[in-house]
Amino acid sequence: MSALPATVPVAVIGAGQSGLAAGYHLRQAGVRCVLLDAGSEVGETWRRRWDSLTLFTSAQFSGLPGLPFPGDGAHYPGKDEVVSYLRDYAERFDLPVLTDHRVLSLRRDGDGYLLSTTHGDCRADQVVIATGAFGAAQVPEFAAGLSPDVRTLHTSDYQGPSQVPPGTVVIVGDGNSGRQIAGELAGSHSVVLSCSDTVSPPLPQTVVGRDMFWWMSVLGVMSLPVNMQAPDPVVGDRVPELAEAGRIRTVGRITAAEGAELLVADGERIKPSTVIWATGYRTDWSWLDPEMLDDAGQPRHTEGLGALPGSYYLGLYRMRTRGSALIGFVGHDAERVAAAITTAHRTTTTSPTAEGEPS
Amino acid sequence: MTGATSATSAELDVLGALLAFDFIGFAQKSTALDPHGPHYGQAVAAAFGLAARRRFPQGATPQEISGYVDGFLGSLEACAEDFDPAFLERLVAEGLHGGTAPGVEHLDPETAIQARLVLTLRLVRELGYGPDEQRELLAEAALGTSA
Repeated sequence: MSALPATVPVAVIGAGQSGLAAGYHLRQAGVRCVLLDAGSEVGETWRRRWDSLTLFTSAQFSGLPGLPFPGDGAHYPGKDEVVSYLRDYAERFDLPVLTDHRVLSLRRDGDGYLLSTTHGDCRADQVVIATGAFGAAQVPEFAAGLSPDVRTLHTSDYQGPSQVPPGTVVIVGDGNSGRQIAGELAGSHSVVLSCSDTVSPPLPQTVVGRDMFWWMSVLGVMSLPVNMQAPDPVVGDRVPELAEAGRIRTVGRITAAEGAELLVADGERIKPSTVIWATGYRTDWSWLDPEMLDDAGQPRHTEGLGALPGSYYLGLYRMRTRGSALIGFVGHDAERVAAAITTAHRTTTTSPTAEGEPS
Repeated sequence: MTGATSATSAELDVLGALLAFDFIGFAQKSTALDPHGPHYGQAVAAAFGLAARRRFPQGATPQEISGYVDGFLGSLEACAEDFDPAFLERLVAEGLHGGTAPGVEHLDPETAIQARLVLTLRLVRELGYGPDEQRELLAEAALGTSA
């Protein structure tokens, strides 16, 4: 597809793993769609992640529907492999992706939706919002109190150790990303990892000789509803061994920044050379029709089925299961959404006057 | 505590967490297992055998075992292709009849313990065992392993 259609049965907003999975299932169902992505190429979000980023799902559990992730199933892909895979996926299934087409607003328009994009408007009968689990970098409010002389960056801007000046690096946030980066920097820098009050259960990458996700898949854990309040486990964490070896120091929650110092909850003051915010993302949903949002500005949906008819979501964190935002598991949600779209599409495209006539 | 006893205890802790469907506990406790230990897999095998014999108190024919394995594999949402049906049938036959079925003793102990863990969970669910019954099963497996 080379140009934005004026009308289309289904518009998928986002051509990352979630959007591509939706596109695949819609294609299989014969439902015409367009995938609109803000990036300049498929996989751009992954391409921007740090150089050594490795998935915590092995290749066996990192594939989208219809195309296994290439290579040894026990291998843990790096980000460049993910980029290549996503591009191959879009090409192989000839998915109608339009890059550089950021959707600026989405509004209900009669029985359908009007999308305003950077290349004009498009009307769709149904829409899938698959813009991903990551949005804009989220940084604590107290970060404003930090002296501009202290170098800071968010994990979304981190590329590798060479980017970080020598000295003490404080990583604020001990989720999977913070811990992976802390482990990498421990080889070249003095690392302090600030851990939140919430204890994330550490899980080994390998359990009784199999990848953790193998067990979760076999046991059906990946398809179970998930408690939104339960902390995310940290998988294959090297921080404990590095801390025991004296190569990483862990402290409690950072609560404030005063000039060149960060304040830990227990009163300790740390003077970092660099601060890396591993504090997650926030998504700005203001481009959606206000009727699609709740009082907190979050999408109104039930397991991905939007509150407004003909609207759907994919790839949201824990949207339906633990796998909803994971590359190897989003396909299940995508199949479900595509099935709902297909049913609605066939209902609206069946002409009452043609009932009983051969198709 | 002897090596055999501690290995037994570690394995049954892992199995106990699995039976309770405490996935985090199952994964975390698994780090205490020693896949190179001489007694690796014995305790889980004992528990598996007990569960199989209770589930099939009259025994089972080869056809019934094959049907059971088919049903088990068909119930999996994913990774069924990672299990060898013939191997599973041999494990079930061994568990039902005690002793070692031909071929089982030569197979990778890791593969065997993986299969037995998953099958034991299924058997225990089919038996309708609650926490008390699960504890009793594990206790009897521990006794059987130490004998």
